[in-house]
Amino acid sequence: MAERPTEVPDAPLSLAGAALQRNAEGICLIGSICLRCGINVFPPSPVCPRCQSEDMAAAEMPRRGRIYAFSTVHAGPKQWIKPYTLAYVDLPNDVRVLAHLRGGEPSLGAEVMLGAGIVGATPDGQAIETYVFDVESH
Amino acid sequence: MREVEILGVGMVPFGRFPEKSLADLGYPAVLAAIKDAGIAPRAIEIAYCGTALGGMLAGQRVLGRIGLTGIPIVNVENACSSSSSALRQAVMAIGSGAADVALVIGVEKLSKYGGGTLPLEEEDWEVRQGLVMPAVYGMRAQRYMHEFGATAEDLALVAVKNRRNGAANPDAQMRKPVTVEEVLASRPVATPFTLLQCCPMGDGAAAIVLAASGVARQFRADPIRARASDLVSGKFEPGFRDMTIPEITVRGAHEAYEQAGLGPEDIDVAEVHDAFSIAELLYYEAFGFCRRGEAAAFLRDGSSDIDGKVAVNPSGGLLAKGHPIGATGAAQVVEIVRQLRGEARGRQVANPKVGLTHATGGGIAGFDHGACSIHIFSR
Repeated sequence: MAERPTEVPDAPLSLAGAALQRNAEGICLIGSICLRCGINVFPPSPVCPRCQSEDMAAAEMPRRGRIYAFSTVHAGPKQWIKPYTLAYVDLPNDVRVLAHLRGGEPSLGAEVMLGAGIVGATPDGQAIETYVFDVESH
Repeated sequence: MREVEILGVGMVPFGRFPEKSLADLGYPAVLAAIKDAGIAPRAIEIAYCGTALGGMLAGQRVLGRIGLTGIPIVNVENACSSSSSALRQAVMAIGSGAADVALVIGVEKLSKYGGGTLPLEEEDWEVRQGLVMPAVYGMRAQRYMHEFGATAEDLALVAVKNRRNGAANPDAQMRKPVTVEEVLASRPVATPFTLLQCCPMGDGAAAIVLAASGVARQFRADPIRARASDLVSGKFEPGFRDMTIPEITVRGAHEAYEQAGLGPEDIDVAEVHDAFSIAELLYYEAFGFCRRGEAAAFLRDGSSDIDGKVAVNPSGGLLAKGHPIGATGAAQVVEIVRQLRGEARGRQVANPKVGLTHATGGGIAGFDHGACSIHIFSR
Protein backbone atom coordinates (compact mmCIF):
# COMPACT_ATOMS: atom_id res chain seq x y z
CA MET A 1 0.00 0.00 0.00
CA ALA A 2 1.38 3.46 -0.90
CA GLU A 3 2.48 5.73 1.96
CA ARG A 4 0.05 8.49 2.81
CA PRO A 5 1.57 11.97 2.32
CA THR A 6 2.23 14.02 5.48
CA GLU A 7 -0.49 16.52 6.33
CA VAL A 8 0.33 19.95 4.93
CA PRO A 9 0.49 22.41 7.84
CA ASP A 10 -2.03 25.25 7.89
CA ALA A 11 0.60 27.99 7.70
CA PRO A 12 -0.36 30.85 5.39
CA LEU A 13 1.45 31.43 2.14
CA SER A 14 3.65 34.47 2.62
CA LEU A 15 3.98 36.96 -0.22
CA ALA A 16 6.95 38.63 1.39
CA GLY A 17 9.31 35.72 1.94
CA ALA A 18 12.44 36.62 3.90
CA ALA A 19 11.61 40.32 3.63
CA LEU A 20 9.05 39.97 6.42
CA GLN A 21 10.51 38.84 9.72
CA ARG A 22 9.64 38.74 13.37
CA ASN A 23 12.11 39.88 16.00
CA ALA A 24 11.99 40.87 19.68
CA GLU A 25 10.15 44.10 18.81
CA GLY A 26 7.61 42.33 16.62
CA ILE A 27 7.18 42.40 12.86
CA CYS A 28 9.82 44.05 10.75
CA LEU A 29 10.59 44.52 7.06
CA ILE A 30 14.11 43.68 5.93
CA GLY A 31 15.35 45.56 2.91
CA SER A 32 18.86 46.43 1.84
CA ILE A 33 21.27 49.32 2.12
CA CYS A 34 23.92 50.02 -0.50
CA LEU A 35 27.29 50.27 1.22
CA ARG A 36 28.66 52.33 -1.64
CA CYS A 37 26.05 55.02 -2.28
CA GLY A 38 23.95 54.67 0.87
CA ILE A 39 20.45 54.32 -0.53
CA ASN A 40 17.95 52.04 1.09
CA VAL A 41 15.82 49.72 -1.01
CA PHE A 42 12.85 47.49 -0.41
CA PRO A 43 12.36 44.65 -1.22
CA PRO A 44 15.91 43.49 -0.46
CA SER A 45 18.28 43.32 -3.39
CA PRO A 46 21.78 41.88 -3.95
CA VAL A 47 22.55 44.77 -6.32
CA CYS A 48 22.03 48.51 -6.03
CA PRO A 49 19.42 49.91 -8.46
CA ARG A 50 21.14 53.27 -8.37
CA CYS A 51 24.90 52.64 -8.58
CA GLN A 52 25.03 48.94 -9.59
CA SER A 53 27.19 48.05 -6.59
CA GLU A 54 26.84 44.50 -5.30
CA ASP A 55 28.05 45.56 -1.85
CA MET A 56 24.63 45.44 -0.19
CA ALA A 57 23.78 44.78 3.46
CA ALA A 58 20.51 43.78 5.09
CA ALA A 59 18.74 46.75 6.63
CA GLU A 60 15.67 46.87 8.82
CA MET A 61 13.12 49.33 7.43
CA PRO A 62 11.44 51.87 9.73
CA ARG A 63 8.12 50.58 11.08
CA ARG A 64 6.26 53.87 10.69
CA GLY A 65 5.55 55.74 7.50
CA ARG A 66 3.12 58.16 5.91
CA ILE A 67 0.49 57.49 3.26
CA TYR A 68 1.40 59.13 -0.08
CA ALA A 69 -1.61 57.81 -2.00
CA PHE A 70 -4.14 54.99 -1.75
CA SER A 71 -6.85 53.31 -3.77
CA THR A 72 -9.51 50.81 -2.79
CA VAL A 73 -9.64 47.96 -5.28
CA HIS A 74 -12.98 46.37 -6.08
CA ALA A 75 -12.01 44.38 -9.16
CA GLY A 76 -8.87 42.33 -9.48
CA PRO A 77 -7.33 38.85 -9.46
CA LYS A 78 -9.36 36.16 -7.69
CA GLN A 79 -6.98 35.50 -4.79
CA TRP A 80 -7.46 38.85 -3.03
CA ILE A 81 -10.13 39.46 -0.40
CA LYS A 82 -12.07 42.38 -1.85
CA PRO A 83 -12.38 45.24 -1.54
CA TYR A 84 -8.79 45.85 -0.46
CA THR A 85 -6.96 49.13 -0.11
CA LEU A 86 -3.46 49.59 -1.47
CA ALA A 87 -1.21 52.49 -0.58
CA TYR A 88 2.18 53.85 -1.36
CA VAL A 89 3.72 54.40 2.07
CA ASP A 90 6.74 56.70 2.34
CA LEU A 91 9.20 55.60 5.01
CA PRO A 92 11.57 58.09 6.68
CA ASN A 93 14.61 56.39 5.07
CA ASP A 94 13.43 57.53 1.60
CA VAL A 95 11.94 54.19 0.67
CA ARG A 96 8.45 53.95 -0.81
CA VAL A 97 6.56 50.71 -0.14
CA LEU A 98 3.41 49.49 -1.79
CA ALA A 99 1.28 47.79 0.85
CA HIS A 100 -2.21 46.79 1.88
CA LEU A 101 -3.77 49.18 4.39
CA ARG A 102 -5.72 47.94 7.35
CA GLY A 103 -7.63 49.61 10.14
CA GLY A 104 -9.25 53.04 10.29
CA GLU A 105 -10.21 55.53 7.59
CA PRO A 106 -7.03 56.30 5.59
CA SER A 107 -6.13 59.84 4.57
CA LEU A 108 -3.30 61.43 2.61
CA GLY A 109 -0.29 62.02 4.82
CA ALA A 110 -1.64 59.89 7.66
CA GLU A 111 0.85 57.99 9.78
CA VAL A 112 0.71 54.22 9.46
CA MET A 113 2.35 51.40 11.42
CA LEU A 114 3.72 48.13 10.09
CA GLY A 115 1.81 44.92 10.72
CA ALA A 116 1.08 41.64 8.99
CA GLY A 117 -2.20 40.21 7.87
CA ILE A 118 -4.16 37.81 5.70
CA VAL A 119 -5.03 39.41 2.37
CA GLY A 120 -6.35 36.52 0.34
CA ALA A 121 -6.49 32.82 -0.31
CA THR A 122 -5.09 30.40 -2.91
CA PRO A 123 -7.47 28.29 -5.04
CA ASP A 124 -6.76 25.41 -2.57
CA GLY A 125 -7.94 27.54 0.33
CA GLN A 126 -4.54 28.31 1.85
CA ALA A 127 -4.49 31.76 3.43
CA ILE A 128 -2.19 34.37 1.86
CA GLU A 129 -0.30 36.63 4.25
CA THR A 130 1.86 39.67 3.74
CA TYR A 131 2.96 42.87 5.42
CA VAL A 132 0.31 45.55 5.89
CA PHE A 133 0.27 49.02 7.33
CA ASP A 134 -2.28 49.88 9.98
CA VAL A 135 -3.96 53.24 9.83
CA GLU A 136 -3.73 54.66 13.31
CA SER A 137 -6.99 56.00 14.69
CA HIS A 138 -6.75 59.09 16.89
CA MET B 1 18.74 59.70 -41.45
CA ARG B 2 16.32 59.57 -44.40
CA GLU B 3 12.82 60.97 -44.16
CA VAL B 4 10.06 58.43 -43.60
CA GLU B 5 6.50 58.64 -44.84
CA ILE B 6 3.31 56.72 -44.07
CA LEU B 7 1.78 55.19 -47.17
CA GLY B 8 -1.09 53.17 -45.83
CA VAL B 9 -3.03 52.35 -42.70
CA GLY B 10 -5.66 49.81 -41.78
CA MET B 11 -7.33 48.36 -38.75
CA VAL B 12 -10.07 45.99 -37.71
CA PRO B 13 -12.82 47.30 -35.46
CA PHE B 14 -11.88 46.67 -31.84
CA GLY B 15 -14.18 44.43 -29.84
CA ARG B 16 -14.35 40.98 -28.28
CA PHE B 17 -13.67 38.10 -30.64
CA PRO B 18 -12.85 35.09 -28.46
CA GLU B 19 -13.45 32.69 -31.35
CA LYS B 20 -10.76 34.32 -33.54
CA SER B 21 -7.09 33.47 -33.24
CA LEU B 22 -4.53 36.26 -32.94
CA ALA B 23 -3.44 35.56 -36.51
CA ASP B 24 -7.00 35.81 -37.78
CA LEU B 25 -7.43 39.14 -35.96
CA GLY B 26 -4.24 40.49 -37.45
CA TYR B 27 -4.17 39.69 -41.13
CA PRO B 28 -7.23 41.74 -42.21
CA ALA B 29 -5.57 44.85 -40.77
CA VAL B 30 -2.45 44.09 -42.79
CA LEU B 31 -4.42 43.57 -46.00
CA ALA B 32 -6.29 46.85 -45.41
CA ALA B 33 -3.05 48.78 -44.90
CA ILE B 34 -1.46 47.29 -48.01
CA LYS B 35 -4.53 48.17 -50.08
CA ASP B 36 -4.58 51.67 -48.63
CA ALA B 37 -0.89 52.09 -49.49
CA GLY B 38 -1.41 51.00 -53.08
CA ILE B 39 1.72 48.83 -53.00
CA ALA B 40 2.31 45.29 -54.14
CA PRO B 41 2.48 43.12 -50.99
CA ARG B 42 5.93 41.84 -51.92
CA ALA B 43 7.29 45.38 -51.82
CA ILE B 44 7.39 45.04 -48.04
CA GLU B 45 10.98 44.29 -47.04
CA ILE B 46 10.77 44.11 -43.26
CA ALA B 47 8.01 43.79 -40.67
CA TYR B 48 7.72 44.72 -37.01
CA CYS B 49 4.88 43.27 -34.97
CA GLY B 50 3.91 44.78 -31.62
CA THR B 51 2.07 42.61 -29.14
CA ALA B 52 2.34 42.42 -25.36
CA LEU B 53 0.59 39.13 -24.63
CA GLY B 54 0.17 37.57 -28.06
CA GLY B 55 2.74 34.84 -27.56
CA MET B 56 5.71 33.61 -29.54
CA LEU B 57 6.23 34.52 -33.17
CA ALA B 58 3.10 36.67 -33.36
CA GLY B 59 4.24 38.53 -36.47
CA GLN B 60 5.03 35.30 -38.28
CA ARG B 61 1.64 33.84 -37.32
CA VAL B 62 -0.17 36.86 -38.74
CA LEU B 63 1.90 37.16 -41.90
CA GLY B 64 1.90 33.40 -42.42
CA ARG B 65 -1.88 33.57 -42.99
CA ILE B 66 -1.32 35.73 -46.05
CA GLY B 67 1.99 34.30 -47.17
CA LEU B 68 4.04 37.45 -46.64
CA THR B 69 6.93 35.61 -45.05
CA GLY B 70 10.64 35.07 -45.50
CA ILE B 71 11.37 38.75 -44.86
CA PRO B 72 12.92 39.77 -41.52
CA ILE B 73 10.11 39.86 -38.95
CA VAL B 74 10.76 41.29 -35.51
CA ASN B 75 8.30 40.93 -32.64
CA VAL B 76 8.29 43.86 -30.25
CA GLU B 77 6.98 43.88 -26.68
CA ASN B 78 6.76 47.09 -24.64
CA ALA B 79 3.42 46.60 -22.89
CA CYS B 80 0.96 49.23 -24.16
CA SER B 81 3.71 50.85 -26.25
CA SER B 82 4.38 47.65 -28.19
CA SER B 83 3.18 48.72 -31.63
CA SER B 84 4.38 52.32 -31.21
CA SER B 85 7.79 50.86 -30.39
CA ALA B 86 7.44 48.59 -33.42
CA LEU B 87 6.78 51.70 -35.52
CA ARG B 88 9.87 53.38 -34.13
CA GLN B 89 11.96 50.38 -35.09
CA ALA B 90 10.52 50.50 -38.61
CA VAL B 91 11.21 54.24 -38.87
CA MET B 92 14.81 53.65 -37.81
CA ALA B 93 15.22 50.79 -40.27
CA ILE B 94 14.06 52.96 -43.16
CA GLY B 95 15.78 56.08 -41.88
CA SER B 96 19.10 54.29 -41.70
CA GLY B 97 18.74 52.84 -45.18
CA ALA B 98 18.33 49.23 -44.07
CA ALA B 99 14.98 49.01 -45.88
CA ASP B 100 12.86 51.12 -48.23
CA VAL B 101 9.40 49.78 -47.35
CA ALA B 102 8.30 48.41 -43.98
CA LEU B 103 5.17 47.04 -42.36
CA VAL B 104 4.14 47.61 -38.76
CA ILE B 105 1.48 45.48 -37.09
CA GLY B 106 -0.14 45.87 -33.70
CA VAL B 107 -2.26 42.96 -32.52
CA GLU B 108 -3.69 41.74 -29.22
CA LYS B 109 -6.29 39.31 -27.99
CA LEU B 110 -7.24 40.04 -24.40
CA SER B 111 -10.59 38.19 -24.55
CA LYS B 112 -8.61 34.99 -23.92
CA TYR B 113 -8.36 36.14 -20.29
CA GLY B 114 -12.14 36.32 -19.85
CA GLY B 115 -12.94 39.42 -17.82
CA GLY B 116 -11.21 41.27 -15.01
CA THR B 117 -8.15 43.47 -14.90
CA LEU B 118 -5.19 43.16 -17.23
CA PRO B 119 -2.91 40.34 -16.09
CA LEU B 120 0.44 41.76 -15.06
CA GLU B 121 3.86 40.20 -14.56
CA GLU B 122 3.64 37.93 -11.51
CA GLU B 123 7.36 38.13 -10.77
CA ASP B 124 7.11 41.87 -10.17
CA TRP B 125 7.13 42.58 -6.44
CA GLU B 126 4.27 45.08 -6.42
CA VAL B 127 2.12 42.93 -8.69
CA ARG B 128 2.62 40.04 -6.24
CA GLN B 129 1.47 42.31 -3.41
CA GLY B 130 -1.79 43.01 -5.24
CA LEU B 131 -1.12 45.94 -7.56
CA VAL B 132 -3.47 46.30 -10.52
CA MET B 133 -3.34 49.06 -13.17
CA PRO B 134 -6.60 50.75 -12.08
CA ALA B 135 -5.09 51.19 -8.59
CA VAL B 136 -1.89 52.75 -9.99
CA TYR B 137 -3.88 55.27 -11.97
CA GLY B 138 -6.34 55.61 -9.09
CA MET B 139 -3.53 56.83 -6.87
CA ARG B 140 -2.39 59.28 -9.56
CA ALA B 141 -5.95 60.60 -9.73
CA GLN B 142 -6.20 60.90 -5.97
CA ARG B 143 -2.98 62.93 -5.73
CA TYR B 144 -3.98 65.12 -8.66
CA MET B 145 -7.42 65.85 -7.22
CA HIS B 146 -5.82 66.63 -3.86
CA GLU B 147 -3.13 68.94 -5.27
CA PHE B 148 -5.11 70.73 -7.99
CA GLY B 149 -8.74 70.51 -6.93
CA ALA B 150 -9.99 68.42 -9.86
CA THR B 151 -13.35 66.79 -9.10
CA ALA B 152 -14.96 63.43 -9.78
CA GLU B 153 -17.03 65.19 -12.41
CA ASP B 154 -13.88 66.47 -14.15
CA LEU B 155 -12.66 62.89 -14.45
CA ALA B 156 -16.05 61.72 -15.71
CA LEU B 157 -16.01 64.44 -18.40
CA VAL B 158 -12.99 62.77 -20.03
CA ALA B 159 -15.03 59.61 -20.50
CA VAL B 160 -18.05 61.60 -21.69
CA LYS B 161 -15.99 63.39 -24.36
CA ASN B 162 -14.23 60.27 -25.57
CA ARG B 163 -17.39 58.16 -25.63
CA ARG B 164 -19.03 60.93 -27.69
CA ASN B 165 -16.12 60.83 -30.14
CA GLY B 166 -16.14 57.03 -30.23
CA ALA B 167 -19.81 57.00 -31.14
CA ALA B 168 -18.78 58.44 -34.52
CA ASN B 169 -15.99 55.90 -35.05
CA PRO B 170 -17.05 52.62 -36.69
CA ASP B 171 -13.80 51.01 -35.45
CA ALA B 172 -14.46 51.80 -31.78
CA GLN B 173 -15.44 49.05 -29.35
CA MET B 174 -17.86 51.31 -27.44
CA ARG B 175 -20.32 53.12 -29.71
CA LYS B 176 -22.80 54.63 -27.28
CA PRO B 177 -22.30 58.04 -25.69
CA VAL B 178 -22.54 58.27 -21.90
CA THR B 179 -23.44 61.04 -19.46
CA VAL B 180 -21.53 62.21 -16.39
CA GLU B 181 -24.22 60.61 -14.21
CA GLU B 182 -23.88 57.26 -15.99
CA VAL B 183 -20.09 57.38 -15.67
CA LEU B 184 -20.15 58.11 -11.95
CA ALA B 185 -22.91 55.55 -11.29
CA SER B 186 -21.09 52.69 -13.03
CA ARG B 187 -19.58 50.13 -10.67
CA PRO B 188 -16.42 51.01 -8.72
CA VAL B 189 -13.22 49.43 -10.01
CA ALA B 190 -10.44 51.07 -7.97
CA THR B 191 -11.14 54.39 -6.30
CA PRO B 192 -11.78 56.95 -7.61
CA PHE B 193 -12.53 55.11 -10.86
CA THR B 194 -15.81 53.65 -11.89
CA LEU B 195 -16.07 51.17 -14.74
CA LEU B 196 -16.77 53.74 -17.46
CA GLN B 197 -13.58 55.60 -16.56
CA CYS B 198 -11.49 52.54 -17.37
CA CYS B 199 -10.61 51.44 -20.89
CA PRO B 200 -12.38 48.24 -21.92
CA MET B 201 -10.35 45.08 -22.47
CA GLY B 202 -10.74 43.58 -25.89
CA ASP B 203 -9.20 42.41 -29.10
CA GLY B 204 -8.00 44.16 -32.20
CA ALA B 205 -5.35 44.83 -34.78
CA ALA B 206 -3.99 47.72 -36.79
CA ALA B 207 -1.28 48.01 -39.42
CA ILE B 208 0.87 50.66 -41.08
CA VAL B 209 2.87 50.64 -44.31
CA LEU B 210 5.72 53.12 -44.40
CA ALA B 211 8.49 53.94 -46.82
CA ALA B 212 11.46 56.18 -47.44
CA SER B 213 10.19 59.47 -48.79
CA GLY B 214 11.85 59.09 -52.19
CA VAL B 215 10.18 55.70 -52.63
CA ALA B 216 6.80 56.63 -51.11
CA ARG B 217 5.77 58.90 -53.90
CA GLN B 218 5.89 56.02 -56.38
CA PHE B 219 2.77 54.69 -54.65
CA ARG B 220 0.79 57.63 -53.26
CA ALA B 221 0.89 61.31 -54.06
CA ASP B 222 -0.07 62.28 -50.52
CA PRO B 223 2.05 60.31 -48.04
CA ILE B 224 2.06 61.57 -44.48
CA ARG B 225 5.46 62.65 -43.17
CA ALA B 226 6.81 61.22 -39.92
CA ARG B 227 8.34 64.26 -38.21
CA ALA B 228 9.31 62.56 -34.94
CA SER B 229 9.61 58.98 -33.74
CA ASP B 230 10.57 58.73 -30.11
CA LEU B 231 10.96 56.06 -27.46
CA VAL B 232 11.89 56.56 -23.83
CA SER B 233 11.88 54.17 -20.90
CA GLY B 234 10.88 54.96 -17.36
CA LYS B 235 13.55 55.65 -14.78
CA PHE B 236 13.53 53.12 -11.94
CA GLU B 237 13.02 55.01 -8.70
CA PRO B 238 12.86 53.12 -5.38
CA GLY B 239 11.79 56.11 -3.35
CA PHE B 240 9.59 59.17 -3.66
CA ARG B 241 8.05 59.99 -7.05
CA ASP B 242 5.53 62.71 -7.79
CA MET B 243 2.70 60.67 -9.25
CA THR B 244 0.99 63.74 -10.73
CA ILE B 245 3.82 64.26 -13.21
CA PRO B 246 4.02 61.54 -15.87
CA GLU B 247 7.79 62.03 -16.09
CA ILE B 248 8.29 59.53 -18.87
CA THR B 249 5.80 61.37 -21.11
CA VAL B 250 7.30 64.74 -20.20
CA ARG B 251 10.73 63.52 -21.35
CA GLY B 252 9.33 61.86 -24.45
CA ALA B 253 7.31 64.93 -25.42
CA HIS B 254 10.36 67.17 -25.10
CA GLU B 255 12.42 64.83 -27.30
CA ALA B 256 9.66 64.44 -29.89
CA TYR B 257 9.05 68.18 -30.17
CA GLU B 258 12.77 68.74 -30.56
CA GLN B 259 13.07 66.07 -33.27
CA ALA B 260 10.18 67.58 -35.18
CA GLY B 261 11.22 71.20 -34.60
CA LEU B 262 7.71 71.85 -33.32
CA GLY B 263 5.97 72.82 -30.10
CA PRO B 264 2.64 72.15 -28.36
CA GLU B 265 1.01 75.07 -30.19
CA ASP B 266 1.69 73.30 -33.52
CA ILE B 267 -0.29 70.17 -32.66
CA ASP B 268 -3.77 70.17 -34.22
CA VAL B 269 -4.84 66.66 -33.28
CA ALA B 270 -3.52 64.14 -30.77
CA GLU B 271 -4.23 60.54 -29.82
CA VAL B 272 -2.94 60.14 -26.25
CA HIS B 273 -2.97 57.27 -23.80
CA ASP B 274 -6.27 57.67 -21.93
CA ALA B 275 -6.25 54.21 -20.32
CA PHE B 276 -8.11 55.76 -17.36
CA SER B 277 -9.84 59.13 -17.15
CA ILE B 278 -7.11 60.88 -15.12
CA ALA B 279 -4.51 59.92 -17.71
CA GLU B 280 -5.82 62.28 -20.38
CA LEU B 281 -5.79 65.21 -17.94
CA LEU B 282 -2.18 64.51 -16.98
CA TYR B 283 -1.20 64.29 -20.63
CA TYR B 284 -2.69 67.67 -21.58
CA GLU B 285 -0.14 69.08 -19.14
CA ALA B 286 2.73 66.77 -20.06
CA PHE B 287 2.41 67.75 -23.73
CA GLY B 288 2.16 71.43 -22.88
CA PHE B 289 -1.35 71.81 -24.27
CA CYS B 290 -2.16 73.65 -21.04
CA ARG B 291 -0.29 74.65 -17.91
CA ARG B 292 0.26 72.40 -14.93
CA GLY B 293 -2.83 72.14 -12.77
CA GLU B 294 -5.11 73.51 -15.50
CA ALA B 295 -6.10 70.31 -17.26
CA ALA B 296 -9.63 70.12 -15.87
CA ALA B 297 -10.38 73.68 -16.98
CA PHE B 298 -8.89 72.92 -20.43
CA LEU B 299 -11.29 70.01 -20.80
CA ARG B 300 -14.32 71.85 -19.41
CA ASP B 301 -13.71 74.78 -21.76
CA GLY B 302 -13.96 72.42 -24.75
CA SER B 303 -10.32 73.02 -25.68
CA SER B 304 -9.73 69.32 -26.32
CA ASP B 305 -12.95 68.76 -28.24
CA ILE B 306 -12.84 67.96 -31.95
CA ASP B 307 -13.41 71.64 -32.68
CA GLY B 308 -11.19 72.81 -29.82
CA LYS B 309 -7.64 74.17 -29.62
CA VAL B 310 -6.20 70.67 -29.99
CA ALA B 311 -8.52 67.78 -30.72
CA VAL B 312 -7.55 65.07 -28.23
CA ASN B 313 -8.63 61.51 -28.91
CA PRO B 314 -11.08 62.15 -31.75
CA SER B 315 -11.15 58.36 -32.29
CA GLY B 316 -12.67 57.95 -28.84
CA GLY B 317 -9.29 57.14 -27.32
CA LEU B 318 -8.62 54.02 -25.32
CA LEU B 319 -11.73 54.69 -23.24
CA ALA B 320 -14.11 54.31 -26.20
CA LYS B 321 -12.06 52.67 -28.94
CA GLY B 322 -10.81 50.04 -26.53
CA HIS B 323 -7.31 49.01 -25.54
CA PRO B 324 -6.08 45.72 -26.95
CA ILE B 325 -2.75 46.78 -25.63
CA GLY B 326 -0.32 45.77 -28.37
CA ALA B 327 -2.64 47.10 -31.07
CA THR B 328 -3.25 50.51 -29.53
CA GLY B 329 -0.14 52.34 -30.73
CA ALA B 330 -0.66 51.38 -34.36
CA ALA B 331 -4.39 52.20 -34.14
CA GLN B 332 -3.57 55.70 -32.90
CA VAL B 333 -1.46 56.19 -36.03
CA VAL B 334 -4.36 54.96 -38.18
CA GLU B 335 -6.57 57.67 -36.68
CA ILE B 336 -4.01 60.48 -37.05
CA VAL B 337 -3.28 59.56 -40.66
CA ARG B 338 -7.00 59.50 -41.45
CA GLN B 339 -7.46 62.85 -39.72
CA LEU B 340 -4.57 64.44 -41.64
CA ARG B 341 -5.95 63.12 -44.92
CA GLY B 342 -9.48 64.32 -44.14
CA GLU B 343 -10.86 60.76 -44.05
CA ALA B 344 -12.26 60.70 -40.50
CA ARG B 345 -15.92 61.12 -41.39
CA GLY B 346 -18.23 62.10 -38.56
CA ARG B 347 -15.36 63.11 -36.27
CA GLN B 348 -13.13 65.06 -38.67
CA VAL B 349 -10.96 67.80 -37.21
CA ALA B 350 -11.04 70.93 -39.41
CA ASN B 351 -7.97 70.99 -41.67
CA PRO B 352 -5.37 69.52 -39.32
CA LYS B 353 -1.75 69.82 -40.44
CA VAL B 354 0.12 68.20 -37.55
CA GLY B 355 -0.88 65.20 -35.46
CA LEU B 356 0.64 63.35 -32.52
CA THR B 357 0.34 59.82 -31.14
CA HIS B 358 1.35 58.72 -27.66
CA ALA B 359 1.25 55.31 -26.05
CA THR B 360 2.77 54.47 -22.71
CA GLY B 361 3.06 51.05 -21.12
CA GLY B 362 3.24 50.33 -17.41
CA GLY B 363 2.61 47.85 -14.69
CA ILE B 364 5.86 47.18 -12.85
CA ALA B 365 7.29 48.46 -9.57
CA GLY B 366 9.39 51.58 -9.34
CA PHE B 367 8.52 53.11 -12.71
CA ASP B 368 6.15 55.89 -13.79
CA HIS B 369 5.64 53.70 -16.82
CA GLY B 370 8.06 51.27 -18.40
CA ALA B 371 7.97 52.67 -21.92
CA CYS B 372 6.57 55.64 -23.80
CA SER B 373 6.58 56.09 -27.55
CA ILE B 374 5.51 59.32 -29.22
CA HIS B 375 5.23 60.09 -32.93
CA ILE B 376 4.48 63.34 -34.72
CA PHE B 377 3.10 63.41 -38.26
CA SER B 378 2.34 66.14 -40.74
CA ARG B 379 0.98 66.46 -44.25
